[in-house]
Amino acid sequence: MGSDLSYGDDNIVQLTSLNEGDEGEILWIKAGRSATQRLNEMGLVPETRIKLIRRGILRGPVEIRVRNSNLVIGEGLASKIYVRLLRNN
Amino acid sequence: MKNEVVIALVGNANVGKSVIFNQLTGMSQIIGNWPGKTVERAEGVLKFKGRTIRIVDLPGIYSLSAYSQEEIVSREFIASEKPDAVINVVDASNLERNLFLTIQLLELHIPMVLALNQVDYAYKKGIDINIEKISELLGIPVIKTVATKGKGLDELMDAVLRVIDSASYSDIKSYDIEQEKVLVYRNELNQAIKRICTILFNHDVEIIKSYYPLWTALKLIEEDADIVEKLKSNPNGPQAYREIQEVLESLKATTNDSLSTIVTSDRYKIASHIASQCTTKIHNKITLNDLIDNIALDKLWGYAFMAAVILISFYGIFKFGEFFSGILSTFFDNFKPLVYNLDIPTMYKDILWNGLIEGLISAITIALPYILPFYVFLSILENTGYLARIAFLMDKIMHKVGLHGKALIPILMGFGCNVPAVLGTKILETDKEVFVASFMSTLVPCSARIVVILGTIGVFMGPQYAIAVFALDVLVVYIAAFFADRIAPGKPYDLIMELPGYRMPALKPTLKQIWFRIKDFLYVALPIIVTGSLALEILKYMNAFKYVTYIFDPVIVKWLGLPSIAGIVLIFGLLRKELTLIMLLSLSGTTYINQILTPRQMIVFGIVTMIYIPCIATIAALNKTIGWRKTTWIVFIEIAGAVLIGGIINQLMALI
Repeated sequence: MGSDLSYGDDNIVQLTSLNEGDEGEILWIKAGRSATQRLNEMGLVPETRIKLIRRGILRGPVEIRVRNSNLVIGEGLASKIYVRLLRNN
Repeated sequence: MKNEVVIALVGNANVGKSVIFNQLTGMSQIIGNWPGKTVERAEGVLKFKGRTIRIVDLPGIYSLSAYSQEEIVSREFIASEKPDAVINVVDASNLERNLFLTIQLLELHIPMVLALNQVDYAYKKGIDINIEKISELLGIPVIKTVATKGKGLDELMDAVLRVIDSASYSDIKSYDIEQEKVLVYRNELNQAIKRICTILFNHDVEIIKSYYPLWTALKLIEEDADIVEKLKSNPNGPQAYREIQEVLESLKATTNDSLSTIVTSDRYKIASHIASQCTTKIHNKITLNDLIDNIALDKLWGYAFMAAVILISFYGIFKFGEFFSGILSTFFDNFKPLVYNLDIPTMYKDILWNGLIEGLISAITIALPYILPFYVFLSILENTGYLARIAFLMDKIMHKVGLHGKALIPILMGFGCNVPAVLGTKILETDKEVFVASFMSTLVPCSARIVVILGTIGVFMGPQYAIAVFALDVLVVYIAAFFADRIAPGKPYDLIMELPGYRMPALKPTLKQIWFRIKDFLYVALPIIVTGSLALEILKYMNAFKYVTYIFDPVIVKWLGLPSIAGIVLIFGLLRKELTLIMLLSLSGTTYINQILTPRQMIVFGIVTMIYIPCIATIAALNKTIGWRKTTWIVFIEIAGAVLIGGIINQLMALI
């Protein structure tokens, strides 16, 4: 999954590493089958653009803007989503 | 032209589907459960232009996968009951995600009309949708609606009837994917679908009669466990599936992602394309919504605000409960002389009044004044959208005990009464979460228990001791949940939740929602309370309680340090928790609790009352929600826990 992308591409980060206001493009998701499918169905598929709105305190859930609506994802799951950083805030 | 038709309402959650359902079916609704499931089923009837239209409101879903009970129930309904048409309710301000479901419904090739709802709200957000264009692109009628104002519903039903009357059913086997105009996926996928359809037709399998070939082929590509199994159980199914697996193997070679991901990806490409073609953004202002969330979800102010909302609501609810409880109590007391003036033996009068009637009255005067405002509170939280914000703020803490933020809501309900709290855990997704959340709810002190603590410890020892006891309870709740999480089998799902826009809740649907929930509570709790009340009164007359004290004394008196009478009274607490206090006073013939219990005893008594066995109404709710086996475990653990903790506190206090 995504193994043909060059290593050392500094712009590939976990969703949880983004700062508030950062924009990114989904590359791949390293979660279990049903969790991945669920994220896919909520609109998070490869090449999807997202924007990080905020993080909860104490490494809590993330809120992102995707396809015109706001989604909240628990921290554990969000850390398994890999994005290419497009724009720093 | 059929006179009676069946249609289903399908759509995401939070799109106003229920509002449309309420507007169309009015008071004719019947709400129950799908057989064998905890998912709600709502059905109603509409008489329109001489036709009888049965409307089924399917649960809010994002997709037709086999991921959740809601999705399974929805696709089963469409496959087996074959509605004459489907109304797909779509939120105009959230087109893309909504269209993802629409695409799947199109794949099922059922006669369909799209209700584009909340267009007024979308317009305020700067989104304008071209109705003709979207109808043309999707190939189905699209009707603008503002459900809360009842706008567009006539046109909607007209379109539905048109679509039903003009539906033509061609031979399924003549299906050819190349004729699809909207549902066009990537090349490799189209080819795979074509090959799979051919295999299915050649083997003449049953499954294509339930679900449309296109949808079935895609589900097989996604390796949907439910569809695969259904196919394998058809005659010729296994052979067909083996051939299909070859197709899937060559498909897998063309991509790095899973097949399920590429199907979803392509569906979203179609949805995205359609959405962008028909949407014009009028302006890009920061919305009021975003501004409110900047406070509501702020790392500091968010929690302050939430604490304020909860404290003020609780205060309001308890004041309301107290007030109405008093009024209703006094009102019903007027009927007591009527019963006691009857010319029957005193024993029967007592059984009739204390048992049967008091049981009934207590449910109304004690439970209802507290539960009703709680349900109102909950409905407002839900329908304004604030509940989702609470889930966000509390997710991390709840996660430590294997739950996520959503679970906080039923637990908060527990402060009013455990019964709706337990019944409310059905909103959680896995059995494990339902179990842990139900367990936690029963340990949350309900208004009855709060009354006991405040009325004894609070009044005679001071508020600081009452707060200490409550704090101990919170600790017990958390620790219990922690262990329940470790012990209960299953993995928790991480939180994935859409943050809905803030809304002003519509009055009628909210009232209906509250009414149906109260009915739920009454059906579970009332019969049990009345029966239990009657039983206890009869036992009292049979002097059965003498024998009880012989058995209980070693525990009650020696270990817990309580007077013997406490043992009997705790049995009454099984019926309603506040009876422990009431009976203690009444059986001892005094109104001052400090004449019966010492301060040390009050604390032990308070702790035991808070933790031991749930009241029978709660036990009934637990049984309904998690089954008798798990309920028995909870009851056992709580009795043991109460005795253990109460006894330890007692011994510790003896040393001070």
